[in-house]
Amino acid sequence: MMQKNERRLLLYCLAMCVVTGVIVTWLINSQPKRIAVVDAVKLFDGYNMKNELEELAKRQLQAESKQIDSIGNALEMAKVVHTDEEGIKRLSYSYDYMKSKLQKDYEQSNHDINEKVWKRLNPLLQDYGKKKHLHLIIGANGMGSVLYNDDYFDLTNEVIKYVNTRYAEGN
Amino acid sequence: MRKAINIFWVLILLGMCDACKRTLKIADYVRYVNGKENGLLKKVEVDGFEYSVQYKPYDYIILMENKGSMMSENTGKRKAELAGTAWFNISIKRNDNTTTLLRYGLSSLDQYNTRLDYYLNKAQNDIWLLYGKDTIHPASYLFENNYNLTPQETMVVGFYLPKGDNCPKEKMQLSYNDQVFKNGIIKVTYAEKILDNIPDLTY
Repeated sequence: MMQKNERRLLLYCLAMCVVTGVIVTWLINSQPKRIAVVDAVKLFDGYNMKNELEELAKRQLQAESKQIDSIGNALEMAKVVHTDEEGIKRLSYSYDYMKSKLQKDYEQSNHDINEKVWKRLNPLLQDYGKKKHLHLIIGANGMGSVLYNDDYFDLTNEVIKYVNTRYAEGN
Repeated sequence: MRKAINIFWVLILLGMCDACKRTLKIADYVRYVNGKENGLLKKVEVDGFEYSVQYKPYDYIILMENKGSMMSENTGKRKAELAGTAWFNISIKRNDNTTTLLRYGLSSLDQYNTRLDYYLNKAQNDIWLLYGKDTIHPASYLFENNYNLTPQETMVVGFYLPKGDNCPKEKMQLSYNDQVFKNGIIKVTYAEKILDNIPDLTY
């Protein structure tokens, strides 16, 4: 039979083990996150400067598109009323030229917006990482670089908020 | 009752402290406006370029025009002319101060002329001000051509304030869409508090 003192000692040891376990678990969980996952597509789309640049480009492209519509209408009319062949040819050439120009301008504007946005986002992400003492920020973009991450490491919304605040305040 | 009277006096004193603005002498006033810590000069760095936006209160403009003096007879008249407007200097330079913007990264004279033409005639279309909830476009624009003597180029831009405001009172956000160096939209914000805190000039 166990003596009273021995039982007390055993209970005391068990209690100590439980307390140590709780403290260790708490310490592990309270360690700051050192790795973050950011959805690059969501970040790009959520950056206010991108949306503002797109809005500005849209106005320009819409103006070009209206010009093309006008030339297209004039060309249709010319074909219906059978005006001189030379005039139709010239209108047709203008129409094709404007259409290909619109396509090129659209591609160029997309390229420019990409370049401008990443030029601004990259240093901001570096600042964010340094500020939060992160060792690594992984850019998930749905192309297979990150196959799964839970919400614990996903800081996309926080990063979007950070970059937009910096943008509005002046950076 | 006595407690209520004491609280009343404390509130009156606090109100008076809030109402009386700080006054500064000319040199300190200029230092205040030019000091980054006071929020009237904002700097944004992008890809090796530094964009500085300086908000210019009316007294500061008059001081600069009169070479640091407020004794001119026309001071009152000039102040009246400036009423209802907001003025900024937008300066751009390379961080390393190596070369002027007009020449940076160019390979031909044609490119130089196109760039100069942009700053002289077109850049104003890429500048706008959000005043409160109103977006306003420049009423006045000037590119200070320094003929490549300094690495910094400056655009002076002025806006008419909406709603008949006599001087800037609401939050302002100046935006410049940099088309030349593809650095995106540069934004700086002047909170109401910063505008309220501008000291009065004493001379």
